[in-house]
Amino acid sequence: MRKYWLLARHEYRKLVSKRSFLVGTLGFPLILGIIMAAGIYFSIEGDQHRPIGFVDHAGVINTAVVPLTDEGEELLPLRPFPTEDAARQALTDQEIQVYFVIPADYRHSLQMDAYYWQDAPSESAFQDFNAYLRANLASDYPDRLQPRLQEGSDLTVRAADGSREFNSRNVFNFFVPFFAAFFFIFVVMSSSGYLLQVVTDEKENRTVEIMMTTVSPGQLIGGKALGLLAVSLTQVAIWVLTGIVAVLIGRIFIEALRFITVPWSLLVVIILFFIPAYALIAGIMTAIGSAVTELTQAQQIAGILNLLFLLPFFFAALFLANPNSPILLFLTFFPTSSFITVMMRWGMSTVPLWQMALSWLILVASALGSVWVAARVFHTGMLRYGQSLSLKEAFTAVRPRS
Amino acid sequence: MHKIFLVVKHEIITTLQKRSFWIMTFLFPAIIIFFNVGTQVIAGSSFNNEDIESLIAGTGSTPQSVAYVDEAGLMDRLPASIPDGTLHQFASEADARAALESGEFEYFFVVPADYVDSGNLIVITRDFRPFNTPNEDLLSFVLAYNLTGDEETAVALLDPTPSVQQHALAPQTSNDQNNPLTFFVPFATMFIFFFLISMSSGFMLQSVSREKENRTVEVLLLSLRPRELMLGKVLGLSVVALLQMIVWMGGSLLALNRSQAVFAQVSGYTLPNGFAIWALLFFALGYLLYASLMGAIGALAPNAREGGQFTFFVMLPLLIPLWLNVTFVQSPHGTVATALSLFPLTAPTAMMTRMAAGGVPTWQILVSLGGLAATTYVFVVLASRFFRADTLLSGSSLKWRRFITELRQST
Repeated sequence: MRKYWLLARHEYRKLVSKRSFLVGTLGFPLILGIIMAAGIYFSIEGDQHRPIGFVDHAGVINTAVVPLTDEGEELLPLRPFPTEDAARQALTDQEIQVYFVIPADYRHSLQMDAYYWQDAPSESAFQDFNAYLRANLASDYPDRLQPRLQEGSDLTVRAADGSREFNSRNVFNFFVPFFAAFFFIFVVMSSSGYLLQVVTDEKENRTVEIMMTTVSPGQLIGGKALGLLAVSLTQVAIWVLTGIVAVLIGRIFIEALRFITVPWSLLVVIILFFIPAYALIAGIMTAIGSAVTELTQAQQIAGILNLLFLLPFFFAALFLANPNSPILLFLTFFPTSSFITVMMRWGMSTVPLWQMALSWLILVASALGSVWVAARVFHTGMLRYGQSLSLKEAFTAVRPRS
Repeated sequence: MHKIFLVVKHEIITTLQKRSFWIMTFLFPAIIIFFNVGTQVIAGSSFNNEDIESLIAGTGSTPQSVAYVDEAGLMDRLPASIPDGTLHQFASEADARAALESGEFEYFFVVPADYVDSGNLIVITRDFRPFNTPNEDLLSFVLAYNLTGDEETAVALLDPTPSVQQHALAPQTSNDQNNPLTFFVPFATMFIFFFLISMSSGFMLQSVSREKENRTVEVLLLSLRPRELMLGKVLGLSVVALLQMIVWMGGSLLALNRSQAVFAQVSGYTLPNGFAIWALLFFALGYLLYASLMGAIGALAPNAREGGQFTFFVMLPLLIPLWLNVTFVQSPHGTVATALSLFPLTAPTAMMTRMAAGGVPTWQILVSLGGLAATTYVFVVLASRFFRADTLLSGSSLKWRRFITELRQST
């Protein structure tokens, strides 16, 4: 036990003290954050703020009617034009960003034409114009009905057993499992590269020959994987803490963030699934790393295997449409994809307890298997230099000796 | 000259012999398409998508009956256009729950007593799928009808502008905004260009660092000058890259043509005149620019692993338009998109994306191409300075500072 601990500590210290760890942990999210912020900024600022013009042949819009708005929300100004020519002139002079022509039979046909110069008008132009139209359509009715007629209904989806509820206010809670899945992918991606090379350093400088005199192959790999896991967890912990701080600050400004509650049961599931899932990857990657000597070749194989872990993301649309479809059921039980699938289904729907238990058992069994295989393959290949293990040799290494 | 040709030939043959090259060229796009399109189709078929218009017009399929409990006492009249049996009322929530248990209904709506003031509408489902909710439009429509007493107003309130024909008035115009391809084609162009340039310049790094790692370069330098080696590699890999580009762009253009022939609603999408020629020019220059950068890294880094750490930073300018893709698709002629398409390092992906969207003035294309050509020339000259016998033979590790010191030494 002490040897595991020593190996893990050595690996952890070696990696955390590297400058690339610092850059990866702090620099990467920083760059990502800046670029995302820039993207959001440009897409908001890029929105045109020029007024919306309209030519009303149907007489539906009275510019004196003001739509109901949320607090602090401002609609684009509206400008009436008597004729299409006048509106066209204003568009050419860039006084307005778009003009709508409402035909005389609008109330019956609901047809309409929109004219813009070169770039399509922003989404908010359409939304705001809809708000003006709704307000005008509802203007003849009593004040008490105004909010319903203009804003419509606010839908709440509730599970029949009352266990889950979804509405426009708690939408953020449904993203927590997504973040968990995303972090998992990140950990897989960042540490599988290290795991592949976990033994190359020791092999290159021949330390492995000395180490073999005191530790068993299983201890060596187990200890190193433990150290790497700790590194990844440190990274994730830093990000999650930053995220929590960001949410705490953000909820002062953004109302929707105030409805976030900590999903304790989900946290338990995350921890229960994360550890064996990580062990599974660690086993697979070290097995490849120790069987194949050339790094580029190992990376290619690992890249294809990474796809197995990413598989559920390709079915993202299916999670939205039908979280209990047979394909997703299969992915729930398939060990490499089970973590992400369980997370995503948790977010989109409810996962029956038996499915979760079965999935967890399969995952744990395959994780133990993969670590055992990795130790055997490593044992065979550890003292070989410059020669890859063939598939056949790898199999004989795994088969129990008679 | 003969020696350069030998290097060119060698590079082409070894790259084409790699299994990974063919996998990336054919299998990779196929996988992307399969997972993107295939899963969308599977998922699309299981979404609830009955819309209210087809229901009112009576063109949709016979809808499943929708159950509701009206605690507000609002829904006493039904609009004439709603067929009989579309709605099923339960007297109380308990009755509705019983029907849910027995499997008679998948879900039912509850209109709470305070609906008019709060606007809350609750749907209780057996199968909890918050992102694929039963369509509440029907119920909202009936509620609005009962509040207003007028069917036309109720439909209009639900969506005042269900069909807006959009027209662009600018003389040199972008493609039709009502066409779904207007969003898809620039997007696809951006991805294709990014992958082509990053992959083909990645080959350059691999090729240089492999020969450095296995010390072949020591033998090669006996009969070949370093710059000849670089020139040969760049030219040889450019042939490979062009091949890849022909496969991808050709395939995409073919797919675009076929899809227009098959689906009427996407026809009429045109790429600007000479798009293929512009694409070829931008690609060739973009490739040269990034390949020379990667070659420089390969020449300085002791092995592929250390070189790989720098590729992200080198590829960053190419990635920026990818991150800002929303801006590019929304306003391809806005300030950000225009600036990025004129800046040489981001021009290859940014300008092609804008051109695919259409309506780029010719002077901008020429300015961007000219800037790119000049920058490429400078970078090729700089990169060739890193290609020296002493850098190729040294095993010292790669740091940012070394770029500067090596550059100074070469003059």
